[in-house]
Parts: sequence; structure tokens; C-alpha cells
Amino acid sequence: MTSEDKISKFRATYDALTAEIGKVIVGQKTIVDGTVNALFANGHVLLEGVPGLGKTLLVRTLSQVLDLSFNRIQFTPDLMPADVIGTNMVHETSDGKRAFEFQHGPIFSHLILADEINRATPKTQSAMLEAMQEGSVTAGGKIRKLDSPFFVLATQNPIDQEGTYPLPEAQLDRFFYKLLVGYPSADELSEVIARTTEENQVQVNKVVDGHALSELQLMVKQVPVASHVKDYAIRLVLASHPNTESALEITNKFLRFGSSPRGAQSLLLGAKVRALTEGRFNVSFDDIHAVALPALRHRLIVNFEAEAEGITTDHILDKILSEVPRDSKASNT
Amino acid sequence: MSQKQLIACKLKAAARRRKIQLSWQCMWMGLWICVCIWLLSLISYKLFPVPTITFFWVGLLSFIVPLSGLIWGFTKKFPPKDIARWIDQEKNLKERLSTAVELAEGKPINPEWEVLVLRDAASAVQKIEPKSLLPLRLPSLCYRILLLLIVCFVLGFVPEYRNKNYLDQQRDTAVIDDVGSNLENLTRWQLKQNRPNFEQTKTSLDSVRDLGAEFQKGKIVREDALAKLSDISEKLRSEIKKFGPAGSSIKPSANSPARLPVESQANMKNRLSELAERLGAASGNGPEKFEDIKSKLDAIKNTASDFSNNKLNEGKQSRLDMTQSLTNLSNMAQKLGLELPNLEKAIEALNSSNIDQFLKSMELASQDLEEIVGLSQKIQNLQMEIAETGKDLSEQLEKGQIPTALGTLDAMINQLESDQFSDQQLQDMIDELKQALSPAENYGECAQRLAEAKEAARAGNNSSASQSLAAAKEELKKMLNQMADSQSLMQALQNLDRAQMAVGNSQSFSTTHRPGVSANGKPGGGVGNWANDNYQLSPDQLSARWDNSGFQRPDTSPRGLSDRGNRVPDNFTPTRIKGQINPKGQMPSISLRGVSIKGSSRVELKAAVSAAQSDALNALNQDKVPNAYRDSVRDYFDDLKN
Repeated sequence: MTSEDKISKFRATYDALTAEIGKVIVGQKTIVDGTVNALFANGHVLLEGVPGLGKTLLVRTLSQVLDLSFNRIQFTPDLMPADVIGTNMVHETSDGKRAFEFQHGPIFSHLILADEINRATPKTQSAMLEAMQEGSVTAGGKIRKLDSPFFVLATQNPIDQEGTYPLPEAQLDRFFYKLLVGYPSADELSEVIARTTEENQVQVNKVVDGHALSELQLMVKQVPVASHVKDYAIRLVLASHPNTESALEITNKFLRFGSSPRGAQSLLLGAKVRALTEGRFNVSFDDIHAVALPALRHRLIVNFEAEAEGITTDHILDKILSEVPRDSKASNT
Repeated sequence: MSQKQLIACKLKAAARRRKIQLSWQCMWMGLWICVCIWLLSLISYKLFPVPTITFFWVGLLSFIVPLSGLIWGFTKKFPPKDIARWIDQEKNLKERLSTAVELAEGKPINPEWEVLVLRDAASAVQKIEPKSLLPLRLPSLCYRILLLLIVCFVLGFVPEYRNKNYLDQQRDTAVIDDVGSNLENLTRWQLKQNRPNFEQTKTSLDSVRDLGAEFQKGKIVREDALAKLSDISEKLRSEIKKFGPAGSSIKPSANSPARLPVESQANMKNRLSELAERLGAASGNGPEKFEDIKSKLDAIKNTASDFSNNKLNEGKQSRLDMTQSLTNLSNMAQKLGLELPNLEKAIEALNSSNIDQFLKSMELASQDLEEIVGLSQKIQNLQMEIAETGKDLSEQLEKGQIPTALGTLDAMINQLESDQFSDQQLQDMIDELKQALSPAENYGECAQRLAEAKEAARAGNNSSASQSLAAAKEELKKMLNQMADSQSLMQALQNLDRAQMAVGNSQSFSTTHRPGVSANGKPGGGVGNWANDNYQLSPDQLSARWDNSGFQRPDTSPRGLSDRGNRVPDNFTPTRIKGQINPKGQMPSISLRGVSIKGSSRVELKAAVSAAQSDALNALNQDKVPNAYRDSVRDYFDDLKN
């Protein structure tokens, strides 16, 4: 299969995925696109939104359209790492001897729904770190490889913060995108009500299997990026680093820490996927611009002053995007 | 054409077009800058005394800057990569072109992807036309430029603000420049016309010329200019003093000896005798007598030509009268020593009634008389000239006729050297030398040399006398040169005085020149040559033109006084005055007895009041009523309406 064929297949798969998800999820196009984008970029997604906006439904639908194994982990304060990863259990063998046998936790699946991830203790949350970054877990002194593709979709509730544990920076940084799920519009809400209160069963079809998905993920990495576009992504990330040469005024004022290099990786990978979905064979500034917010918003850490003034990372990123020039050389030509 | 070539071709065309566009824009930008600078300089010029040369430099800048912009735009290089990025941005190609250019330049990538990217970029760039992408339009800046140019144009009509000190300074500078120019030109002309005989004179005149040149540089203020003029005037005066009597006490002759070639006394005498010989016995008479005869002859001739032949034939008495008149005229001429044969012929022709011959002879006689008048005039002029130059050495020296005196001395030397003279001639020469001693004292050692010559001649030592006379002649020549230089210096001094007057009074050099008076007090420029006073009006004749004392001007005769005396009629004497007359104060109440006219009026009161109001209004309008009383008068007559 030539690259052109692969690209065609990619677009077809992408369109089919969004179409199938659209059968269940009403509206939320940005969230759906972001989630599918991260899926093709082989990245994990953190979905944040108030209860009832369809976060869990989205993930469940995704698990239905993907021909992949799916597990849901409901994070609670008493959830232990072993409950996620698995543990060695004493097992009586057929010959009557007792031996330790590793009992696989729910993480051993292609698609994981980490529901309300911020309700678990940091200890349990940290159990996800290795899995999300390395695609493996270490239990009982043994590294166990997770199935590929491995895709974590976590949700968290921004309200009702009592008894929750905000995700540590290291954990957050491992998410490819952080998507903010907003309220549906009136039409969308009407459609949601219609679908959920009337008797009509929606059947979604499997669109892609794990192998095909892995191939498409590999193809994404081949999309060429011009040096000045790459430079723009780097300059965006550098502009978020406070007290540096490239820092903007707002960065110095409201940020404690800027984006990690994973932010730049996410920017470029997300942009590549977007370029392909737009029918192009190269990454543009618009692609970078479009994925900047979901890719970077959870990687910036605001200071007290920003919190006091209600400045969010989205505000800061908007400012960075407006002030960092896309291509200064082209403007001067 | 491959996709790579297509892209490269388009980029090249776009780069070329971009270059043209950039130079076009830079030229307008340069023009904008220049117009701004021009406006600023114009405003500055209107407010402050900015030198006008600034406009030359700004004008030069206005030419250079747009041209530089144009050239800079053309010389700027646009690499394909930059142009690709620019086109991506302009046409929103989503970085297709720039990515393709990078890949074409050899960035390592999957070949299949390279083909895809190049194809995509080629299809995108194919539709792009550089000319439509980069049009050459007038930039919006040109409207602003036009606006500023209009402002500049309007500003051109706004008068400049200059303070009084600056204006004074400018006027002084202009005057000094004018004075310098005139001074330099005059001195240069003077040096050319009268080459100085002494080095000192030349140095002094050069310094005057240099001062004029220095004045024209415009770096000297009024006080310094006056000081320099004064200094150099002093220097010239001291130079003139150094020449001694030749420069100061001797009055130069009317005809400058240094300039005009003066005819020697002997030549003039020879010419006089020749003319007298031509005139014959009548040479002793003045031209006015001959003119009198000529005018009478002309009158008779006119009368004769007025008559026709018939009349002349018929009027016997008239012919006899004319014959008598001509005979009388002939007698008068003979008394004066004139021979007029044509007049005699005319009388004979008249007697014989040969009118044609008569008229012809009359014409010839008139011509003869005209010639005689001319000769007589010449003799008189020559005699006057000889009288002016002096008849002997004494007079010549006294009158400052040095060239003539030199000629006289030459004649004496020749006479002495030739030894061809009688005792009487020698005695005459000794007497002439003796008489010349006193006036010669003004000419340095000339008197001494003449005295020596006289003594030597008396002693019969002709060669010694000749040498002494030659020494006197040399002394005179030296004096002549000194006089010439002295006159040059005086001329320069006069120019300096005029310059001082011009600078001191802030007036132009030409206005310091007195009309009718030039150097040495002679008639000068501006009023013609007054050498012949006959053609000018005498002072009496001139004063007659403006003297109107004989005219009667009753319209201008004074009428202010009357013979009524100081007594005021009783009717106009105030009987009672309440209050005081003060400006701005209340009108006092004045009661007059008034003129009592008894009888009945034939004018209605309304008409009388209306007339009085009209008169009062006129008086008010013509400011005949003092300001202090205007309101009261107006109120009074307004009240009469009621």
C-alpha cells in the first residue's frame, strides 16, 4: 500500500470514527475531534467537565467503535495501585502446591477509561505513570508490557473538589491533550433529550482494529513539517517559560512553570494528525495553532497571582498565541 | 515541466515581481520622508531664520532618498525559501509551498511523501500569477504625500516671522555685501584705469579691494565693518599725507594731468595763429558780432524768398528797401574787416532784378558767414583754453597745469640747448623763471631748481641752466605722479567715505552718491555731462519754475481772523452757567440770552426740529462735537422728537 493509499485510508477511518461517535454523542465536535486526534497520535486524553456532559459516554462509544479491549476504572479514594495494575496472588496449583500468580489489573487493556481520576489518592494516580509513558507496568519486580495500542481516557470533575486529589504535574504532563467539555447548545440538548428519553437503540459499528490503528499512528509520524513551522511550535513552548529570554510579559507575570518538551511533541504530533484530517500532506501554522490549547493548557502551572485574578492557562495561551509571530521572515519579505 | 521546475519558475517570477514592488514602495516611502522633511524645514523656515541653503539640501535629499529607496528595492535579494513562505502567508497556502521548497532543497524524507507534498504545492502554486499577486498600485501613502504637498504649497504663502534684530542684521548684511561689491569693483576699475605709480599706493588700493571682497563673504557685522572702514580710511589719509603738498595743498587742474593728453601751449598758439590767419582782418572780433550779421542776412534772405518774382518786380519800394538793408549789412561787415563778395553780388543781382542770381548769392553769402562764425567760435574757445592753462610757466604752475608746464620747460630746455636765442629772449626766460619761483614752491624742490636755472641763465651758463631746468622737470614729473597717486587715493578715500555712510546709515551704496557730483567734485553720473553750461538752465531759470510767489490763490487765503474785535455780542454771552465743563462729566447748564427775533415764523416747528436734528446728526457724524458731549447732544436732539 502506498503512502497515498494509507492517507486515504486514514481520512476514511477518521471520518468513519467521527461519524460513528456522532451517532451517540450529540455535538461536542471539538471534544470528539480532539479525542480522535489524540488516538491517532497515540496520546492519552484528560477530559474535564461537570457531570452529565457525556464524558464517559464518549469513551464508552469510542471503545465500541474501536475493535479494541476496553476497561473502565472508577477512581475512588480507597482505590489502590494494585487495583489498577494487578497483583501477585497465592494460587494453588494442580499439584497442590501454592505459588504466586500475577493477577492482571484493569490497566491491561487497549482502551482504559479512568473515570474521575482525581478522586484517587496520588499514590494510586501514580500507578498510571509508567503505564501511560512506557506502555508497561512493573509489579512484583517484573516489568509487564501492556497491549498496544494503549490509550487512556481519563475524566475529572472540576467542581465538588472536596475529597479529591488534584493530579500531580508529572501525571498531567503524560496526557497528550486536556479537553474541556462544555455545555451543549440548545439544539444539541434537545437532540440529547430526544435520544436518551425515547426508545431508539443506536447501533455503532467497529471501524478500526488495533493493528490498523497502529499502522495509521506510524504513518502520522511521517508527515513532513517545515523548519519554520517546527520553529513556531518551539517558540510557543519557549514563550511559556517564565523568566527566560523568550518569555512574554504575561508569562513572567502569571506562570510558575511552563510547558515541558512533551508539550512541543504534543503540538507537532497533534498538528500532523490535523493536517492529515484536513487533507494536507504537510503541517501548517494553523494546525499548530489549533492544537495549542488542548496540548499545552495542562502543562502550564499558574502562580498565586493568576489564581487570585482568575487567570487561567487558556488566557495565557491565547495571549502567547496572539503575540508570538508565526513567520517573522515571511512578514519582512 | 516538472513540479519542482514549476515551483522554482513561479518563485523566481514572484521574487522578481516582489523586487519591483518593493522598490516601488520604497520609492514612495522615500518620497514621503522627503515631503515630511520638506514640510518641517518649511515650517522651521517660517518660524526661524533658517538659511535658505537648507532648501537646496532638502531638495537634493528629496531626489536622493526616493532614488535610494528605488535602488535598494532592486538590489534586495529574495531567496526562494523566503518567497515561498511569503506566498504561503499571502495566499494562505497552509505552508504547502515552503514545505515543498524545503523538501526540494534536500531535506531527508520518505520519497513517497516528497512526491505528495510537491504535487500538492505545485497544484496550489499553479494558479498563482505573480502580477496579480504583487500589483503595482499607487500606495495609500501617495494621498498623504499629496496632502502634505498641498500644505507645503499653502504654507508658501504664509509670511515668515522674523524678529526685528534679525531683520536689522539681514539688512546690515545686505548693505555690507552691496558696499563690498561696489568697493571692490570701483577699486578694481580704478586700479585698471590709473595704474599706481608707487608700490605703497598699490598696496593701499589693494587693501581697499580686499576689504570689499571680505565684506562680500557675509561674515562681518556692522560694527566691525565700520571699524575696518575707518581703519583703512585712516591708512589712506596717512598715505595721502605722505605725498605732502602734492597730495593735499595743490589744487589739481580740472583736466587731470595724469589722464588726459594735454596739448602743449605752443601747439595751441600755432593753431590759434592758423585760425586767425584764415579769418584775416576780422579775427579780432568775437563770434557774436558775426552771428548778428548772419541773423540779419538770414532775415533778409527769408523775406526775399517769401516774395514771389512778381511781387518783387511789382514792389519797387520793397526792393529798394532790401537793397538798402543789404548795403548796410555789407558796410557793417566791411567795418568788421570781413570780405563778403557774394553779398556784393547779391546786391548787384537785386539791382539788376536778377532774382535767381540774387537768391543764389544770398545763399552763398549766408554759408560764408556761417563758416566765419564757426572759425570765430573756434578761435574764442582756443583762446579760453590757452587762458585756462596759463600763458606762462608761472601761471601754469599756479593753475596746476603741470603737463603744460612740463611742455614749457621742455621748450626752455630746447631753447637753451640750441643757443639760438637773443638776449631779449634770455631775459624773458629769466623773468618767466623768476615769476614762476613763487608758485613753484608748492612743487617740492622745483622752485629751488628753477632758481638755480635762473641764476645759471643769468650767469650765461646755459648748460647748467638747462640741467637745472631738466631737474625741475623731473621734480615736476615726480610731483605729477604723486598727484596722480594722491588722486587715486583720494578717490578711494571718497569711496570709503561713501561706504562708511552706507554701512552707518544702512542704505545702499548707490544712494550715498550725490547726483551731479562725482569724484573731485566734477559733474558726474546720473545727470549728464555739464561741460557746456549753455545747455543747462541757470539757477534763476530753475527757481522760476517753482517760484509761485506772483500767483494769487484766493481759495487758500486765510479766513480765520476777522476784524470784529474781541468783544462778544451780548446775545452770546452766557447769562448763567451751572456746573463745570469736564470731559466725561455732566453737561453743564448754560443759559444764553439768545437772539431775540420777533415776528411770526413761516416754518413749522416740526420742520425746524427736523432740520436741527439733521444738522446735529451731521455734526455728530463728522466728529464736530467733542466726545465728552456727544451723548448729551444726541439725547437732547432725540428728546426734541417727543
